Amino acid sequence: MPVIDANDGNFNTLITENDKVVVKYFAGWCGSCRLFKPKFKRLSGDERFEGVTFLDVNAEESPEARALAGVNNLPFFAIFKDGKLVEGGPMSKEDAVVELIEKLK
Amino acid sequence: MKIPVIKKLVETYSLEQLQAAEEALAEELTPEITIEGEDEGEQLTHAFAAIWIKEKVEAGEEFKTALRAYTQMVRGSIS
Repeated sequence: MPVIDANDGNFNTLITENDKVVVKYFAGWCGSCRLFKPKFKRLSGDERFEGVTFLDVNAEESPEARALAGVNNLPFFAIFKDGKLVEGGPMSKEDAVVELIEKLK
Repeated sequence: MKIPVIKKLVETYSLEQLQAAEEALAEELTPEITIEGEDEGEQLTHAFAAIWIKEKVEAGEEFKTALRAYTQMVRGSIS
């Protein structure tokens, strides 16, 4: 499944209309975010995560979506289930992100 | 992100050198200039910051003013 670009305008709809969602918050100034982009895209196509919706949110431009997960550093990853935040945190290692997404199973 | 590292980069290298380093780091290659950082992500963050600030300085802004604007932009996206 491709990574969907989300923002304050469509974030709530996307997390409520999809049961299992993982969000990557990024910003243009963040080098680790830039380096994680291809990894996140690859994970979105990984069959282990079939049924999980992958969202990309520009934290600079989406303060409401950012506040819903309590973003305090970047890159920040959060998982939502049935529209509710389950867990989130700043991380830049792929293993940690995989572990987080697996909590949606 | 470490301010002293960004300051040193702005003072030491040209915009072209910084841009070349940014491109190399984004491609996960080793840049020709030394950019400090705990990992490649932090190094790239330092390169982005130095380029952003250097462009403002070359346009006539004071370094301190550009640095303050940069840190405000960063804070504004994580608070």
